[in-house]
Amino acid sequence: MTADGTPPQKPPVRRGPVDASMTLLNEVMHRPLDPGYAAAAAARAADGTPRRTRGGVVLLVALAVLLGVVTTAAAIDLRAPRPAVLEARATLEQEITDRQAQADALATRSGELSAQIGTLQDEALGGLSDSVLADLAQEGALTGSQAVEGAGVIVTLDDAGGGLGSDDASSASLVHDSDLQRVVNALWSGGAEAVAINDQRLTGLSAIRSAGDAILVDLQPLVAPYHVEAVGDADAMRSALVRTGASDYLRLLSSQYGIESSVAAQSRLALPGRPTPTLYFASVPGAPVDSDPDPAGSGTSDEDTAPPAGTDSSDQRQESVE
Amino acid sequence: MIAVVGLVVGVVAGLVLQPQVPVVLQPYLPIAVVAALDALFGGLRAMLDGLFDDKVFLVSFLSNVVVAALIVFLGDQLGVGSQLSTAVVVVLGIRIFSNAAAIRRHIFKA
Repeated sequence: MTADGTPPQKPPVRRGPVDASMTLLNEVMHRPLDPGYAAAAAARAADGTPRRTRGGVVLLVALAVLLGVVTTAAAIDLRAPRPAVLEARATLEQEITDRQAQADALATRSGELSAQIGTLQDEALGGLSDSVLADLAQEGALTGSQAVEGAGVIVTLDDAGGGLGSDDASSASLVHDSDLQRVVNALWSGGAEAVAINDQRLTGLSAIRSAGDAILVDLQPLVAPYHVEAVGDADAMRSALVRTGASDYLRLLSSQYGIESSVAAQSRLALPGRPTPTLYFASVPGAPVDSDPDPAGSGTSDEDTAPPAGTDSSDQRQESVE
Repeated sequence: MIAVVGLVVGVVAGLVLQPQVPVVLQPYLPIAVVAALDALFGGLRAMLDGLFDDKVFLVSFLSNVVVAALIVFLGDQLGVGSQLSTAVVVVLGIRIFSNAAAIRRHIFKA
């Protein structure tokens, strides 16, 4: 501070342009044209039209053609999908098809073997008693190991919107495993004798679960629309649907989430059977009370027919009843 | 002008012959194409400015493509390939935009 209060004179500072530190950006932004063009134009102006040699022209044209080919080739190559990706995709598709065919073949074979077991069982037990066979048939129907035909109802549920395939399908607009569980439980409580969802027969050990957005019945993924077929007294099952609140629930799904559903009585339904269930427990029929009139014959036949669980589980059930 | 004619002939030849690009060069193709675009726009602008020169056009075209590919190659070797590619694309993109704006001013006077 000086005595007269005027601010001290600053020495004049030579300032560069404010954006001196951004020469690169300035260069890029404000002078995008190659300076070479201006230089060439200036040179041309200085010494008139330049004479080009024949060799120079040829070189120039050759270079131009080369650059055109290279650039076009690069652009074409970039547009084409990567062959490696395509190949991997094709391989995966092939593998999926192969495995699916394998699984189908095995399922067919399993069905054949189940049928064979069934006929063998019938043959073996044929001489024994008709009551055992009748019991077996009944138990088979109840446990789901035998195909069933009869009158019943079909409850159909369908995803709102495009289903799993479309991208905008939110989880709320899809049918959930709990929806199907609710319907199936109502049908059971209405006296359904056999229930199947999309031809997957439900047994006493079946589970309706979800994995992500897909619904699995016994680990088998199902695709919408879902047809829940139940054999039994149609009127009783329909009243059970109303009584248990499943109908109201379906209506709610329809109004809130757009999941369409319908209940229809059918005079004839054919439900497939589940392949022979896993055997957990077995006992020789009539072992506790040895009243079998033909012990030798029945003994060997039981040895042969041990695997089908239907025999043994039904006998087990009989024993426990006795 | 003769350079442009040659370039068009080359493009047509490339479309007809569809030459295969060696696999080794494939990582450099996107950047090279962007660099070529930059040179093309520069040439077009120079033409409208009345400054066009065959030699400058072709040499800038060639050097742009080669340098761009070289930068990506160097970046790959140093482990910063994608970042360097981004840098090159940004710079070339700005240049293409400015040149396109200049061309627009020439053509539409706006």
